Amino acid sequence: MDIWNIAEYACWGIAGVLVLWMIADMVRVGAEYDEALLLSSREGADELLERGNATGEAK
Amino acid sequence: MTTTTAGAGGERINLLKVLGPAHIWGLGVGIVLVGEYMGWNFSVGKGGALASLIACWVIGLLYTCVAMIDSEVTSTVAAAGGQYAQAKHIIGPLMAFNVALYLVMAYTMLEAGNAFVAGDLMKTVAGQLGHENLDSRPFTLLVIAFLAWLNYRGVFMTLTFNFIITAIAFVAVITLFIITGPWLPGVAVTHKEFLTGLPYGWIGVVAALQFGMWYYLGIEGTCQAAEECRSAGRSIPLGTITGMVTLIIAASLTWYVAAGLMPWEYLGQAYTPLYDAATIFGNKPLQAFLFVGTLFSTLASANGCINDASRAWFSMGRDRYMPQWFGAVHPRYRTPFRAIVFLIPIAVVAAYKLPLDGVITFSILSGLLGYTFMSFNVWRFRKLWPLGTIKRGYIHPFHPLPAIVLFILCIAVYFATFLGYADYLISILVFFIFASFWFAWHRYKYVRRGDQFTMPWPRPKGL
Amino acid sequence: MARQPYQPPRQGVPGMIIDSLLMLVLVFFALMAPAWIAEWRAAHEPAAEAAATDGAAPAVTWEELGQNPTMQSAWEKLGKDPAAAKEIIDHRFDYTIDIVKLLFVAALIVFYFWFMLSSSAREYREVIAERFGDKDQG
Repeated sequence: MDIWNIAEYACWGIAGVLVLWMIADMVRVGAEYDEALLLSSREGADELLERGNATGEAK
Repeated sequence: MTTTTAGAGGERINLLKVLGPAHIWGLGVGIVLVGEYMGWNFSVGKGGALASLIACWVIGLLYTCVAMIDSEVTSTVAAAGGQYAQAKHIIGPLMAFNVALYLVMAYTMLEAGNAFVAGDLMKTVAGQLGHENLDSRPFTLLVIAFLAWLNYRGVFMTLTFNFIITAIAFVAVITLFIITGPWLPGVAVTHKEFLTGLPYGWIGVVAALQFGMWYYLGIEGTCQAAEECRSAGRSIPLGTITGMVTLIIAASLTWYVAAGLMPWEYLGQAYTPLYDAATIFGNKPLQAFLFVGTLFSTLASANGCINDASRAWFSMGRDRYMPQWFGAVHPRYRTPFRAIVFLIPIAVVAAYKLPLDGVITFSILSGLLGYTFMSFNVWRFRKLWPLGTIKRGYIHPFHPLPAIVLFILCIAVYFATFLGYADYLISILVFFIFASFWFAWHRYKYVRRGDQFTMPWPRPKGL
Repeated sequence: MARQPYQPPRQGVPGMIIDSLLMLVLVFFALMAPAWIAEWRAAHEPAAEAAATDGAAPAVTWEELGQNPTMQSAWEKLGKDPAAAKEIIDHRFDYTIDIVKLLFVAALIVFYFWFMLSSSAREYREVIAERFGDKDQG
């Protein structure tokens, strides 16, 4: 058991923690927020398009 | 009718607009620079050192066309998903679906390749320091998990980190050139001893075009960040074109150093040519610096790939080309978090299970299909919305010459790929044909028709 | 707006999961197929394999390999002796072109782009009509 073996285990561990954190956060956000809000982003909101956004709707 | 997608109080959450030209440069160059550390040299194996240099410049021309065309269209279609959104507004839905798949495949496969190489590099170093048979898998997994986590937590931090490690990797290439340069006493690079003409003749030059793509593959990914730029009309053209200049310089220097230090037969099959160059030169600190450069370039590339692939997947979800669930933005970090998480297992499986050259060829071909699309896309863009009818952040010169050159060069690269990897070419075409049938006959029924067109443009001319 | 906008059906959760998984399966097969083909070929052409492994025995010199002194020193710094170098140098690509296969691939590419562009054009007209109204009104 040298430093490289320890590094192997450390990598498995840290990677596992990061992935679990992301999944936990994803589930939490899904439960806490309204799905319609999460899906509310609009494509291409930019200053080039301000004319379109100023009137509120694309149509 | 669009209120059906708004939140309860009518408020919306969008991706965060925080990026500047330096981030775009880092994103574009960061994805590609790993190609100067490894991969480009397979073009030497395909046709000799001179063929590789010709490929470097011919493919450089191809990518200059790509960068110019892309800058113009993206400075107008400022949307996450980049070329996907362009295709949707200019060619049509099925093309857009295919373009998004090219992007997701090209970047996810490249990410897997990078993570694999980073893990393998750790194994090599451990071997050199006396620890045989290190398990590289945890390192590969950590690279993917850490970079996904970084992407999940916010685009500004992700691309600032990317800018820094890309800059360090670029400095390492420059340092190698300066130290091995012909102006120092005891010259190291001796091209006249190593250049042996074209071992396969001109067919070898054509064959070299395929891996010549490695010198630049991924620079067009800058468009994916359009929706997150403070000013896309300025940042994208500036970041992309300075990135392209950076890469042409880095590619030429890389070729110059490596071709002047090693026989082409060795170079053509080496896994880490720049590290080998430093080894031949026998300078320990330089060797260490190039090790760091190699590692950072794989990280920067994987990082940019996660960023780009997730934007493309997210955009498809938003338009229901893929399940709508993926079109969510994180309320706090403002990132396409579900798309990021979904792509993790795909990258891990590709890195663990699939053959590296297959993964890389899949990536190159997906990119190539995308460039073919760009050539007729820009032509139709100019036809449907002639100059002056909509506001453009950047107008590329000499139209339609770049589009024609791009189209011809794409055909040449298909032929080059046929010479070495015909089976892969067939396999990937069959894949995209099946995916297209599936989309046209099944998936498209879930898509709202008129809502796909989001730009505040006038009606296209002649339709 | 004269035209009634198209109302897509709602997709349930099982449908979403099936659609996502289907894509993954397609990708996996597309990537593995060439590797399987290569394996199948290797299994059916054992003669070529045997011939390749045969020739490694006799000792070679740098001169026979056509390497000049600069090249020799580079090989040596990279830790390769003439025998190891010979293996690398002798590895050559075969660029003979199979015309039938070439035509097949070309036809596949043309069909792919034809199908994609013609379907896209049809769908695009629908998008424009819904977004901007029918042409004669518009």
